[in-house]
Amino acid sequence: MRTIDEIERMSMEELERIASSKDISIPEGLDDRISGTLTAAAFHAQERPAARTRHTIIGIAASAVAAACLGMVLVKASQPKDTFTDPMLAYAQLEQTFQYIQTKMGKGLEIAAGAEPVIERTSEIFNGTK
Amino acid sequence: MIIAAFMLLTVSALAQNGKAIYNKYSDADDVSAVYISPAMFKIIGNIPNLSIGDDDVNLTPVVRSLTGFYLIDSDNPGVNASLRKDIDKLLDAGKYELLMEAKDNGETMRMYTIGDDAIVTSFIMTVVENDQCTFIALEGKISRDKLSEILATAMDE
Repeated sequence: MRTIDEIERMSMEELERIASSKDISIPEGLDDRISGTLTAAAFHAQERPAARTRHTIIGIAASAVAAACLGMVLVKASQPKDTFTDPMLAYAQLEQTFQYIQTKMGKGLEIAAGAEPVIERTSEIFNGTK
Repeated sequence: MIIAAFMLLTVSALAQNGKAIYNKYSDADDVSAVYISPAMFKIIGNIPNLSIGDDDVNLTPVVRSLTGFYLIDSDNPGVNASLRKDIDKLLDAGKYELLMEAKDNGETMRMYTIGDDAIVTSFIMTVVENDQCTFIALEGKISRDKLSEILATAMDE
């Protein structure tokens, strides 16, 4: 039996002569074994991208579920408690707040009203020069 | 892992609202805080004959449409600086429309709303004066007409 080194040193003509020689016997079942190995390799090569995609999708779904659960826990934990247990007190606070808003709004409108004569005078001057 | 981190950031971003500000500052020193929940608003909405002062203005339609009330009143200078930054972040994040701004004797008052022509979904008022900062937030589906009517009626007093 020749070694790999010997085979590598042989020329193409010698290799062809040996391949076409009827003296060399091929082990039984070799052809079937080679076909089977090639077929299995081809099958696994096709399966790998699909398996990879499946694993990726599972990973994304698991991350999403974990993040959603954590988010729900955080949101629930951050829910504040009512300051008042008596609805009448809560309403009184609401009324007081509306009155506070009204006071501040009124002050703003007063300032705007104070500027009205200036705006009107400016407008008169502007129209007069046109 | 990256997707989970992104989703957590999204959740935390969504929490930039009145509730987040209330949760952050309500327990601080020299801070008064008030929160009214949607459940409490439902109870208040069932109280008959609500009115402001002596006028027969029915506050019920507005109360029933409210889902949250947050008030933070701070006299803590350290808290005020941080509170103002968080309020600015909240206003920048949402599509708030400046309704009114008034400056008088060192006090600055601003009012903001989010909503359309008919409905106000969020109302915010901030008052900043020297070492005091007040933050008021009302959330819900408030009829703009009703809100204007109530405030206008109150101003007539």
